[in-house]
Amino acid sequence: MVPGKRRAAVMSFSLAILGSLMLQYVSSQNEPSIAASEPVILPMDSHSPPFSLQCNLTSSHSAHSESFWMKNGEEIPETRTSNKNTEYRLAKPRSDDAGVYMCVFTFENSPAANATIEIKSAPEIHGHKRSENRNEGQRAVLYCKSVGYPHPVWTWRKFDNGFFRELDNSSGRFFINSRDNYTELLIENLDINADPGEYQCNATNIIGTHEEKSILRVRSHLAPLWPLLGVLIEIIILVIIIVVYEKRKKPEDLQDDDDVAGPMKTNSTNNHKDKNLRQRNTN
Amino acid sequence: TILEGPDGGWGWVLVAALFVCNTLVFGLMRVFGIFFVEFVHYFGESAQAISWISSIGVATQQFFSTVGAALGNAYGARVVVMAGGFLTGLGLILASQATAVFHLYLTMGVITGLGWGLVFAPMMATVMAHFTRRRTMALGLSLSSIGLSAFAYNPLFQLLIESYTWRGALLIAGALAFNIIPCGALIGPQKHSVVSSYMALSVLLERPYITLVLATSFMNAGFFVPYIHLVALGRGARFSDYQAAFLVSSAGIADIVGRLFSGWFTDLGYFRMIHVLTTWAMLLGLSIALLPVSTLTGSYLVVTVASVLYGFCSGALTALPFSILPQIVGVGRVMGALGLLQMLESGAGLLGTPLSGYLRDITGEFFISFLVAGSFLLVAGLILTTQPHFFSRTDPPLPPKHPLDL
Repeated sequence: MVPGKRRAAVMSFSLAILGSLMLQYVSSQNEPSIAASEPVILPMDSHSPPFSLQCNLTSSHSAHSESFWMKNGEEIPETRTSNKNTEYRLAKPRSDDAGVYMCVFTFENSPAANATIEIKSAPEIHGHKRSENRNEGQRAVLYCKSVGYPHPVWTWRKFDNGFFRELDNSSGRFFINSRDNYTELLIENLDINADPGEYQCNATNIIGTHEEKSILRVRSHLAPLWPLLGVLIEIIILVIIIVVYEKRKKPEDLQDDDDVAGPMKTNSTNNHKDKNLRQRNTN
Repeated sequence: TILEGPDGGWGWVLVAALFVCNTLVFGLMRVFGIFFVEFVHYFGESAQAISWISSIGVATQQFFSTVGAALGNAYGARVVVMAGGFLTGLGLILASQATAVFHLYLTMGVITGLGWGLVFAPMMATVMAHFTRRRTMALGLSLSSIGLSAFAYNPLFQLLIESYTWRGALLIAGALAFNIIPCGALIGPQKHSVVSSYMALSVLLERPYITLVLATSFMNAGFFVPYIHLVALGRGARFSDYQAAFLVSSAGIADIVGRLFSGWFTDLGYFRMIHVLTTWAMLLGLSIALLPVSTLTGSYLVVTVASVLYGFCSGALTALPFSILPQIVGVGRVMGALGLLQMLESGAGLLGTPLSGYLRDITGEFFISFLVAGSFLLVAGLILTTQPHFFSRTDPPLPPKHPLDL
């Protein structure tokens, strides 16, 4: 290479770098910069001390008009101020405070700018049915609802032989629908032998895991036959006892055969002075 | 002199049997209300269509009371009560398999109703025949099961329906109803004897009996009104739901106390039974009329006291129209007369509560309907004073045997 040409290449190369650096500098001059506080992870026992999310608008090109906060894509009411430093305070942080928070700054002549702060927490299952009773052949729905962020991965298990294991869907009757903080387990055409038992929904995200269990009972069409049988047997026993007791006493009382237990028949009203109307005991 | 019954011993066993029978007759009748909601939901029918089930059941029981009485006279109370128990249980068990409301009309309504009809009159008459001096007490005790079973059966049947669905609960109810059979078996065996009065229709020609029927019809018309409408009256007086419900509970407890007191007091014999009956009827009428008046004070305490008074008088009265029967028609015709009485007074009972409801609809509140119900009882008391020999000091002699007995 000709020496002159090498120098030209180096110079144009440095110019390019310088230019791009300057370009970056210039463009960052045009973008507002926001200093945001660090993401938070809520402790699992829900006893978190109060804290605040903070955003400072450190530089901007055009005049700042308003700032406000959003959670999970929706504006949080009563957070609008005209401050450049804005703060969102959580006095008693709980699991359902977890989510994606954004501080938004609006400008008069520029598009709005925002910064994102995530509050993460382990999932907590708040909504589930402790037990469900259904008839054979019907459909059962077990569900679980959670709070926390990020949205968990849901799994369902059944307690079998000492521990919770994966569901066996060889019969094709189990359907699981999960969406964000909600999951449901549908069991069609309940089988009284295979289906009853403890089911567990498990919610797991990157921070932690939580599970709850529900008991499914399946009523048999034959179930009431046991008490039915029991009562019938009781009645038969009682009747046998009464009849036998009577038969054993009967020979002694055969002479009283004009006494009957119950209302008197024939001529009763005329003879009441004559007869001693002792009503007959059955013993 | 009144025919002597043995007053004790085996009689008390029969009182216990009647106690159980009453829960399985009238207690189960009340339980139909719990099934009501299940049926409306399951069959998708109107409230009125489902209400017919219990109406048919009650009406059948009352109507066939005479048949039960006649059969009891002819074949002995024991067989009839046991057969009645079997039919009652059978109707409920068949009802558990129903696939249409019409099936329920036939099974829970007609078959079970028929069974009930065969049970009540013979069983009551048997107990009455075993007591003379303690008759009112014995009857009061055995009738107290009706109120108690209303308390106990509600949660029990809720549980049965939840655990076994209504079909399973009806199956079990039918089996429980079969318990009437051993109760009937406790009645001594009876022989077929020549009976001259199956249905005791001859009583219809006698003024004392007619007077009693007329009086008890008026009693029936007014008697149940507070039972059904007291809660609504309480709510109308701006008491809370629980306060209003408690009025019925306190009346219920007072009812049992009143029953026992009245039984003991009447059996002391200081007063003629007809006088005692008339007095309680009038007191009950006054206490029913007092209920709406007490709500005017706005004080919950006052209304509770009025409810307790009502409950006491109501319990005191219940057994008396039955226990006085042997005096009026003679022990020989008690069963038939009882059956007839049930049948004849049932019409008034059927009309009484809807009438009260009607009065409430047109006046907007229960004030008038309670007053009318109370006045029915006062009228009943007045009718009783027209009984022959009412104002004499001792009971009249029993009516002579009538040649036209059927």
